[in-house]
Amino acid sequence: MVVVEAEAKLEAVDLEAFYGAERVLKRLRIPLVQGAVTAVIGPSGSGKTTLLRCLSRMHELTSGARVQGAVLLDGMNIYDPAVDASAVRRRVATIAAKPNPFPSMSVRENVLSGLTLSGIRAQDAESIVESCLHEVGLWDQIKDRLRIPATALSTVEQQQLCIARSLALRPEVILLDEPCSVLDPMATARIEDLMHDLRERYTLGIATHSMQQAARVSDHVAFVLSGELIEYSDTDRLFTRPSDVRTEDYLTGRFG
Amino acid sequence: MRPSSSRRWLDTAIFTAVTGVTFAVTLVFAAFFGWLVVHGFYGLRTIPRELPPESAWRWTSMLAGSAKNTVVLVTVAGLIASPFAVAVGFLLSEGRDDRFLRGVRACARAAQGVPSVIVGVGVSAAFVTSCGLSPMAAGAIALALMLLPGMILTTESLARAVPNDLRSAAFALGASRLSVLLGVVLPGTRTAIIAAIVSALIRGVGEAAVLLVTMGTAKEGPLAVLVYHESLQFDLPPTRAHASALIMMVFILSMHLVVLRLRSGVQLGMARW
Ligand SMILES: Nc1ncnc2c1ncn2[C@@H]1O[C@H](COP(=O)(O)OP(=O)(O)OP(=O)(O)O)[C@@H](O)[C@H]1O
Ligand SMILES: [Mg+2]
Repeated sequence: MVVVEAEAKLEAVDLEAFYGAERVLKRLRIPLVQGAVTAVIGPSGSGKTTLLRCLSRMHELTSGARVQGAVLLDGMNIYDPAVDASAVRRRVATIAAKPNPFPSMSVRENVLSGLTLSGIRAQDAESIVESCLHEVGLWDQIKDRLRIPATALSTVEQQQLCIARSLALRPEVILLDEPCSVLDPMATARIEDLMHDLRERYTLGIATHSMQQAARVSDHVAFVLSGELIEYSDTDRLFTRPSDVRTEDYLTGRFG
Repeated sequence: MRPSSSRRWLDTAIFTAVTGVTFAVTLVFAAFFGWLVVHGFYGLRTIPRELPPESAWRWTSMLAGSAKNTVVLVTVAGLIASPFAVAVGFLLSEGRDDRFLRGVRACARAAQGVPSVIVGVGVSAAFVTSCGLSPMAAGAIALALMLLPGMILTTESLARAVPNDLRSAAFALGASRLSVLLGVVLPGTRTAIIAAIVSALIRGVGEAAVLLVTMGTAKEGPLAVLVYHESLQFDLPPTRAHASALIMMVFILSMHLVVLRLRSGVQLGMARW
């Protein structure tokens, strides 16, 4: 049995997700605690990506995909029919595994793209660009190249840019789906450091199949297996004294 | 394992043969263009000598009129067809793939195979006979209808070439479907779609059948109809057919240059994805 007691910024409650008739998330209850990093770990196909997409109302964009249960953002169910999905997506940012800056836009335009795509014309565009790039640690190395195409940046810079692009919308939660899976160890360290900085101002969720990464960056860990939450606890405890035998098997590499 | 020497010999032989065939095909095209240029210019030069001055003048002004008609017909057909093509093509690529859109796509594919003569027959029946539309307007409508299905399907496939990651990224930023289309899909495809539309219009320049049916053998037809008409004058020397064919090819090749120009820009843009 899973006991959840922490104060949650974003919380899945009895969350179920379907692709057509196939149920891939089974009555999950996972909190994302304010000012902390929550890692979702589990073998490939266990439903990490699906979970993150459900938490930001992205899941429903897949045709035939459906959600049941609730996700509470500051206590408000984001699946309430009165809630606007776009507004939720701006409050709960999603970062994809593969950096995906808009190729038709410059670095600067990418940072502002969340605003321009929503038809918002920021008066203080320059300061938004500067502060967001600063926040992801990109400003100093890139401030003279703001007009180059975003795709001319290195992979890790592109990933930082994608995070900066989300920050421009002043989100409250940032969900990263295996944000380092296409990066080398140095670049991975850079993103992990960045997550460490960001957790003070945002609630962070990360899906990863690297247990080392989860151990390095997270405060809480949820272990998901075949769409079921097997265990949720503090990172230290989960890695040192897992309470479920399946968690232990996974950590010791017996499967996955 | 190293390929055996007979294997390598076969490899070389096949590539040499294919290169030879390619060269021969290219030579045929080059010879054709050369022939057309030589005979076309010859025609243009001899017409004044061949005909009494008055009919030579009449013929030349008819040629000029046909050229003008081609420009008007193709431009109007393009203006009619492209907004519909772009709208429907984007709907096909961005909309939920339900039964309705699958039906639309199937119709467009089927319509693409309809011979242009038959499009002409339909348009004549619908607009000329019953509404008494002018030949020019009917011709433009028929041409637009003929080009529409291809334009729709090309727009769809170009829009589909935009990676879904980018759409997903835009949705994750809270963008609406319309702003994803206008802000992400359109900028990535605009030039390619314009190039595709111009390519379709090139076909329109060369189209005679649909216009013969809708406009009749009216003297105010486009170049394609003139070429058709002149090439059937078997009792006359072919000078006029050649001259008008050359003028038509000048149109087509210059439009083709526009397409090449646009495509080179697209290649650069594509390389960034
Ligand atoms: N678009 C889809 N349509 C149908 N089934 C899907 C779709 N996407 C994912 N699934 C299924 O849902 C389950 C969970 O997939 P998901 O991508 O969430 O797992 P994951 O934990 O993120 O895996 P990975 O570590 O490989 O990224 C899998 O069984 C997968 O086959
Ligand atoms: Mg995944």
